[in-house]
Amino acid sequence: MASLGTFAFPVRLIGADVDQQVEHTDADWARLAQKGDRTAFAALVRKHQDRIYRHLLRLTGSRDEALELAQETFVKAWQALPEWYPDAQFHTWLFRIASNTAMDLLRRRKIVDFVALEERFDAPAGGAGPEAQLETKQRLLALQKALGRLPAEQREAVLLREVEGLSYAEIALATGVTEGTVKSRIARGREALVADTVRIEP
Amino acid sequence: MKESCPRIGEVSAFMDGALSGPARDEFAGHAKTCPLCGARLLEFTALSERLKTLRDTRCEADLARLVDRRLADRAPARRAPRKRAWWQNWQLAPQGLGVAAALAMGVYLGLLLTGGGAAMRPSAMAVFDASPPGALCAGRCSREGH
Repeated sequence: MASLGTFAFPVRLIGADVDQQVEHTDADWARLAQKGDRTAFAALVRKHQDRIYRHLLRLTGSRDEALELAQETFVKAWQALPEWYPDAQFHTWLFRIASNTAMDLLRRRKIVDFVALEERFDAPAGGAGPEAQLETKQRLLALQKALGRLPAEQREAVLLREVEGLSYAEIALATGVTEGTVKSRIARGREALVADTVRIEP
Repeated sequence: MKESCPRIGEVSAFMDGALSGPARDEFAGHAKTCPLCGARLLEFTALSERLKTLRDTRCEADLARLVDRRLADRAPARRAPRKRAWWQNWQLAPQGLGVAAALAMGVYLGLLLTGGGAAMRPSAMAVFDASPPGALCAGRCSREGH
């Protein structure tokens, strides 16, 4: 089984006659991609596309924009691959490109205001009855709207921490700010979200 | 007036494990006794659980294929030279004959001008010579007359 940070993928090695099940890390794929191997880059895209798309979807609130921005992110990553070095976590590097791409677009269009996802937002079923599913869906929609009311920088920091599970150091690298700023943005974002959704009176 | 705790700002960092060892243990003890920090910790934990449900979102499109297509479009086009069918070569025959005739004419005229083709020189051209055909050598006769 592939360990965290590795990705099992059948690959035809140069000079080999048979396909071999080889575990490749992001760094392995990235090194091959740096030499112009688009198949290796496609493996990286497949591995990270859900995270990048999801993050962009929550940042913009629009499926179409998220899909377009995700493609743009990977194209930019391909172009910037010669600058990538193995010391940098590939997913952190990707999030940085995605973040810059999304923020550029939002600033350019002057719509930093978030657009809440529409009613067809797919809530996880969870195996509960229709009423429970409806309640879950409504709760997630409320959360989505509360996220939309956050300043974009706080929203981004909270999402990277809570949804993508990045550390403060990784978020700092991905967003280009200090760890202290990350800590502050997350704390303020959480406070605002709690005030909007799950306030518990002591 | 609403109550407040000076340590309420540490809850978020504590939850993320961003406090160092001794500070973390000390704050954990504080949160157990402080109703404000304790309540905030519960709120943040509940929020965290809700936010984690957003992880279920998947990208329905095959981005690898879409991105690869974009990369292929941007790559410099390498077109293989088109191979001509054998019968298409016959279409070149008239042009080939024309070129060959033009070359032959060029060579012929070139030889005429340089005099390298004396054998081929037309007799009509001889009237333009210093001594026309049939005449005696004028230079020699005049010298002999003196």
